[in-house]
Amino acid sequence: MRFSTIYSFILIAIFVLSGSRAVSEELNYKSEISGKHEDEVMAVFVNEDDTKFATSSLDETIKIWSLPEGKELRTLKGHLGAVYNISFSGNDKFLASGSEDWTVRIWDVETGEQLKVLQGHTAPVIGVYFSQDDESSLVASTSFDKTVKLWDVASGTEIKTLRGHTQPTNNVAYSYDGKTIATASDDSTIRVWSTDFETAAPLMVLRGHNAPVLTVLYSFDSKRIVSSDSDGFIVIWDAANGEIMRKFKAHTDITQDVSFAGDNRTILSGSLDHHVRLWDSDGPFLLFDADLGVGVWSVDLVSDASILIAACEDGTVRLLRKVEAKNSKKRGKK
Amino acid sequence: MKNLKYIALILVLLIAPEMNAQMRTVVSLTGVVLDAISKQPIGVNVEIYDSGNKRVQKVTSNAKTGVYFATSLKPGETYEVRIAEFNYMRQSVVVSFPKTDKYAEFSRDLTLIPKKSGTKIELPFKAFGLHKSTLKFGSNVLLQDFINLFKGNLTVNFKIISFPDEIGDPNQNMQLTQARAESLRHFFIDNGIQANRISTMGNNTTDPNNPPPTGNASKGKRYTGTCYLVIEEF
Repeated sequence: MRFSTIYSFILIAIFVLSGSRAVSEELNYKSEISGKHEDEVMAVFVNEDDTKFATSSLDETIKIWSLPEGKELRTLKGHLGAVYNISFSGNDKFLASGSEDWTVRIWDVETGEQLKVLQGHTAPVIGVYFSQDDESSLVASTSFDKTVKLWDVASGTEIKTLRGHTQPTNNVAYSYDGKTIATASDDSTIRVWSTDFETAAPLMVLRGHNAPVLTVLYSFDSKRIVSSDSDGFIVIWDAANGEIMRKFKAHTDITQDVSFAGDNRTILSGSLDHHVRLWDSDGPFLLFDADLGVGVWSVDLVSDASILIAACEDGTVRLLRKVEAKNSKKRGKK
Repeated sequence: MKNLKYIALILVLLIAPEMNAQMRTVVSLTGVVLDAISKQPIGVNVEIYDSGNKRVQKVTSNAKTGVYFATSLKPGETYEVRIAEFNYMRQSVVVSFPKTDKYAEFSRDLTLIPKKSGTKIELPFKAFGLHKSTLKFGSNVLLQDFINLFKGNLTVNFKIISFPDEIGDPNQNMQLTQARAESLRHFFIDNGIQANRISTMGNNTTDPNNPPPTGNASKGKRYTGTCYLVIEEF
């Protein structure tokens, strides 16, 4: 009896020490303020080749920044309301934005020119996501009007409108294989839809959150879906059958955004509880935690996870640069 | 010469089926028709005109679901969707279909504004910056829908009502909101709407139906005073 108790203590001690060593020795980031919007920053998105990232804000603008420098390159103006979400196209040439002014807009990343104004939603647009194929011909959008719309970028035409959510839809993600999109809603569900032009009913309805689901995202192999909610929970789903793989309390306040790393396992989360956290979702194990002292609306990271980016409530855009790395092979994108 | 003829014939044979397929392909337009104020589905006649102003389709939306469905339309073409219903303002939208060689259904939801005295239409975007009374750059694009609306309904007069950004000095609020309403009035006049159809009203207190958010409700929001277009006479 006594032997087994001692043995258990030894096992626990080894586990705790090995875990804490992983956090303290392998991952350490230094935070810096890269720049500022005139109001709260609602979204951040890193492009495919890690050379730029974009941010959008309540100040109605979008800013494009260089990587790894974090230097502001240009400001895109045109929206007549808060810009809630942005997404680079798979070929990095275009940027889509969704706004309080009920429009989705398409921008030329290189020139900053506004190429299209897509009108059709009947309430503020909350989520946008470009198809991630080389042609980048489609954009998906979600809105407080409870619908999900798929747009043909070249013609500006709505390809289809998907209905089924019973409350406003918050965010949308395109799978990297291009076959499906997933949407998160205040109705506490995630719906998975086909991107073909014929199917209008959802392929799956994922139930597991007990609060409005704020964001949803596919892993790069399109095998997993991650989502977060307003109670601070993160759920990892099997994209093939919609089953919950992991569910854990990640934050103590609204967790507006999560981002997958390229290993399809590591997850970055940001919350209004001021924390940015990196997770190994297979545990889940907390890999890194930073208190930025300000609410975080959105997060993203570069391919090798050497830079984490936080879009903050105080209008700042913060870069967390890795200062101590040990053979990290993580690759990350939103 | 004979060889050239054969080459031309082969080319025609190769290209013809594809051209034929494109010419034969039809696409459909579907969506829901909603009352812009109640957001409830409505049953109305939806007419579709081609670029030569010829009516090519007339369908009725389902009164229970609001769903309409028009088919036999051509890919690569631009159409105007018009709705003329007694209890609603005349409205139209332009839809361009992408080219495709296989059948596709495209969507366009339509919201109709009731033709009823007192109907309040909230501007769906922020036409003014905080504490400012000049129209923001880009407003003209989104206000175009309202220009079309009032040009298409010549018997309708309307009032522009503006509310302030915050609870503050009543005199300053009244001054700001009157200036905003006048900015909008001048914009409509400059774009061909008769001056005698438009009246204005400022306010010294914030919008009771859409007050500035406070506490947790203000997270992730930037409030500026609302503007309404209210139908007065028709």
